[in-house]
Amino acid sequence: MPSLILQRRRRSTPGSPPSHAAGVRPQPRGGAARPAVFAAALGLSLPRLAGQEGGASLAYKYEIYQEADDRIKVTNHNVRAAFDLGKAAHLSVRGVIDTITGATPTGEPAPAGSDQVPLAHLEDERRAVVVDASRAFGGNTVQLEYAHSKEDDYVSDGYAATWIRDFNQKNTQLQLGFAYNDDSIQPVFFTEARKKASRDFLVGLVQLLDRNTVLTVNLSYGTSDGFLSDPYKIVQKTVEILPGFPLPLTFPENRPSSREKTIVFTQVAHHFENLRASLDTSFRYYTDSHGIGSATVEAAWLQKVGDHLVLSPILRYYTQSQADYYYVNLDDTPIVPVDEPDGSAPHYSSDYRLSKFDAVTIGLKAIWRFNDRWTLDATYERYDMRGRDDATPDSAYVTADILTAGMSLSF
Amino acid sequence: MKRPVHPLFILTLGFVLATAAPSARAADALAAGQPFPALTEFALEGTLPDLAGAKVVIVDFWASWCAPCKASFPVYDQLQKDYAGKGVYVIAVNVDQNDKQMAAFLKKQPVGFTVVRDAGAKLVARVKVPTMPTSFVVDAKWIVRFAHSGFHGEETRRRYVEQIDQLLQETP
Amino acid sequence: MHRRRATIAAILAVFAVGLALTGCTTVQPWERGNLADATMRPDRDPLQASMTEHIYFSREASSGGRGVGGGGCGCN
Repeated sequence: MPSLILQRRRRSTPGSPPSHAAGVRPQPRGGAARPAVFAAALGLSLPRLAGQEGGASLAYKYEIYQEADDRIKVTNHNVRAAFDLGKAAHLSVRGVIDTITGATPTGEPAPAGSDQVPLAHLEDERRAVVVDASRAFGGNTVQLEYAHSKEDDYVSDGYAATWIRDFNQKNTQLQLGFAYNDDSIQPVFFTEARKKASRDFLVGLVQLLDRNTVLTVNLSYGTSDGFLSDPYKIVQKTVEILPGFPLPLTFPENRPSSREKTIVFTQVAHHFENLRASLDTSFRYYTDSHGIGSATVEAAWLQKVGDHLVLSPILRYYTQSQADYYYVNLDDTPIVPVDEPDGSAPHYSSDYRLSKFDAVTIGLKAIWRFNDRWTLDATYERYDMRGRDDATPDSAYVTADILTAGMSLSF
Repeated sequence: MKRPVHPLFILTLGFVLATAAPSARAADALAAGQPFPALTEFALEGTLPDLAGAKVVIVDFWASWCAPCKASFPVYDQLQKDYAGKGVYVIAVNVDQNDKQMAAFLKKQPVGFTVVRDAGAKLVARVKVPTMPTSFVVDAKWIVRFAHSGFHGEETRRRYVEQIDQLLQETP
Repeated sequence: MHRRRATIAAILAVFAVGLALTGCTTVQPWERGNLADATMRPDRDPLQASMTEHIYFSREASSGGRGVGGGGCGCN
């Protein structure tokens, strides 16, 4: 591993105001308290409308996520083994090891005369395992999942159940999913762990439109409650301790202790037989009770080249509004921050991820299929965030290079 | 602020009720006890064997893109060999949209049984196969005696052997 | 109130789509060659799908939509 990655960003330290001025906030080490839903189970929960069956498969992927300017680097090992158990049951196990290192904004504003937000170094390791079991009963499939993820300061246990039903001669598929997540957050400066519980509910429809086109529509609703703040993020408020002697003090952020979110996701995949290619497009609309609204558009073109190669350009655009309680600092607000916030109003955070911004991903994936057994793939993606609020310094946002290499073997 | 019932739950309930109704059209598929359509009436591409003395015919609907179909071919090949000269015929009816796909598949996996192509998808539409692959075990009177949905490896092979043996005993 | 209206609108949209589509076209089992193509499979690369979701989860305020489950993390 290159040594420069482990260096703390030079300009980060001098600019940082004393963060211990109010409430001890040790250096961040990883741990954003945000609801825990992502579609790892995508592959298994989506349909086998085409009637394919397999025996067993083993896949491995390695990924390097590197943010520019020595911000965060994540290296990631992923392994997935999947088996058919008899003709109707299926089991898959996925293991993940993430190594996270680098610098991330503390939440403090850029000091006067600078446009660089203060950063803090972090290091963490995450290990996770996800076990999925599914079984078909006639036109119904039931899938159960358990997921466990562990970092030094964050432990998550997730349970999910999905029911999929085919009808209309397998032209239509209905999916109902429920997930419950039980998370525990305990950085070293917490005397006891704080809890977070999330429930997610999904209704999905997959419809074959014609012999080349599939439409997916998913509606999701989720709630979270408990400790939803990021324990490492701080906010700054300048307080006049004596007339004419202002002092910037920092405080832990305080997000609401509950959240509701609603998501509409639609996806259309179309095959172009003459071009030997497929287009996969999706649109997601997200809204939550914290004032975040977002839209995401994704498109992937999958072009077959010869008998073994698939080349796939990827494009993604994401835009979000800011959270109701996002402030660059609290100076011009009537908010009086406290040392031990409990999630009750007033709420405040200076986490740049809650600001108004856009992000664009462009990428290219190559998949080389040697034969029916062996597949190799490599992907390069560039992720570029741009602030859109004219207040948060550009230095808060990230630009990242993402390299992924994988292989899979099926039996 | 808490809503007693979220609209998503109502939606879900609606979907569950809607899907609880059995699908009537699934019953349209050709089933055991019904006569199998005469193969000669569908302008199948390829050469059909002379079925005059046939005691058991397995008619299998397959496509190059169907993974279990691929797995089934070595089994059919072996069955055709094992029962050679005993009035047992395997006829695999291809339903690929493009005959090049079929040709490429057969080049990789040459077989000793009969393969014909239902280019206009007329036979497969008459039979209304519910899934790919689907196969029918047809007796000497051209009546469907058994139908197989999908191909499940050794389990399916064993059932074929039992069914062929049973039909051979009926027609000495 | 805003959110509720959006939710209801979305539900009606899905109902409309569902009613419009179910039963009006039927793709027969033997017509699904293109749909079965490796480039059309939604689960063509489940590992990468989960890894990508994970990155966006750790950088953006929105997450989810494609499915449920997958587990949580305190990702920074």
